[in-house]
Amino acid sequence: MSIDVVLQVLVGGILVGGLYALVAFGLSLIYGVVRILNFAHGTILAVTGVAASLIFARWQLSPVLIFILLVPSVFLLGAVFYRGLLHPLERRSPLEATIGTVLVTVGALLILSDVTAVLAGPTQRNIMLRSPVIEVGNIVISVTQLAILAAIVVMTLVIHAILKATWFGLAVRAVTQEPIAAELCGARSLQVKTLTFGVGSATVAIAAVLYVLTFPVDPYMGFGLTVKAFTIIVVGGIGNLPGALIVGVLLGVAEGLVGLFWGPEWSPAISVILLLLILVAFPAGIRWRRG
Amino acid sequence: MMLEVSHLVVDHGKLRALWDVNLNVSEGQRVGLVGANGAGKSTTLGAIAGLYSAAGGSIVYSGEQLVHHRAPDALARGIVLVPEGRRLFGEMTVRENLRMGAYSGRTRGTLVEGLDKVFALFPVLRDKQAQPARELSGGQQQMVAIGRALMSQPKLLLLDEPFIGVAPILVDEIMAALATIAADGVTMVLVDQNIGRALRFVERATVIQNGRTVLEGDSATLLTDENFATTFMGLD
Repeated sequence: MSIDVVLQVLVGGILVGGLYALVAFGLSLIYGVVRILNFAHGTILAVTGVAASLIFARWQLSPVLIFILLVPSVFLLGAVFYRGLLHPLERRSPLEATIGTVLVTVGALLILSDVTAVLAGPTQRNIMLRSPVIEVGNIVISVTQLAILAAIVVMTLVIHAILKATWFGLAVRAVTQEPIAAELCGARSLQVKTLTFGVGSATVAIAAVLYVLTFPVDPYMGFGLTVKAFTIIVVGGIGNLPGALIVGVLLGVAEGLVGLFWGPEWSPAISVILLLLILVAFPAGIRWRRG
Repeated sequence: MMLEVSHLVVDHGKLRALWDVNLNVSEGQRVGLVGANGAGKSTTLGAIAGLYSAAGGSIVYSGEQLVHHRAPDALARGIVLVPEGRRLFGEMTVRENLRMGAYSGRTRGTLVEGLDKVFALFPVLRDKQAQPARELSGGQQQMVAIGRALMSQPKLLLLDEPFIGVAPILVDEIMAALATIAADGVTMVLVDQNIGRALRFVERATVIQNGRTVLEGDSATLLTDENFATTFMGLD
């Protein structure tokens, strides 16, 4: 097998890994603030991706317009989902609340997947853009892929800037680290949690529109993505953006290489295998140096 | 009277923490809240600051009865708590911790002035402002906690055990800073395990025992009260 094939797989792995990182970061943002594991998180990508491809097939809107249409909608849906279905559970006893949130988020996963499959069909879809390709040696990269890569970098920087420089970002970090003190500083927890659920969901919607431009989506792919996002969070650290990016790209590349050498049916398992290996090798967790 | 707490009852789940707490604070006063461990001092401060709801009794602040108020509601009225154990945002820098103190709409506009005021009071924090709060010593962390509270522009400052884990030399420095803050017209309620130290700082004190107010008076009077001395001064 030539080195070019491996390099080509690396490019794809970096791309999909960067998108995994965005998905994972949305999940960890939500978990850090709201302390709910949203099992439907990856399904948001599946549903948004299918919606994007349908909109494209029907009206030939530009991906930028689809982005502008879908991301705010998913933000709203995420906020309403939390406020309407998850927040009321916080009044229950801790055990009931935990089981309740698992039921609600797993239920949302099942219902969203099935409804999407009924409405759009269970088939794989994507958005095929005709775009020029750039050849570096024997590696072929399309302009679309480059644009996706650029978008991932820009989104990461934007999220970083929001967390670092805005009052909302400050509140998100404060609530994640010390919720009582954040409340004492005037951050209303319901408000911050609702906004965070919206922003975390919107992050997945962003990843979804980028994802469907090169990779196929289907209504039932969500849970696998959620598992990958869990892996990235556990290894990269909750609320750690650079950590998520590094682990996401590593995971994407590992999947690509495993698929290449052992066969694609092994790709989904690699995230779990990697997680187990890392948990065994670093039982106390990996401490990322902070920049 | 700035703050009138009457017959306050607070439950933590099924356990009753406060049975009958009374606490009066007039504007500009420094008041101590003393008693043994588990007497209900922190719960009293927490209830005033909006962390716990009252199951009975009343909290009247500046003539307004506070009912089921949350911490942000208390903060909006100028009631600010420096919580026990400091509760800093450890991974955030000193400056970000202080900035978080100015989070509420009322204080966002005066961020720079607020920071200058805190740095004037605790000059060491100016040099440490880019450092994560968890890397500071206990005393310096306490300065950040007090500084963060000042950023919220308190009218009534509630201090819960501000000297735990603070090196003796820094206790004096923090004490002096609190005196400066009080001289600026900020009303204070201080909870301190070290009752002698608390009574030297405050003008009046309220003594609580098992969730009930049992004694109240001028600190000078309490210090000479034989009954008080034998019951409480021996404890610390």
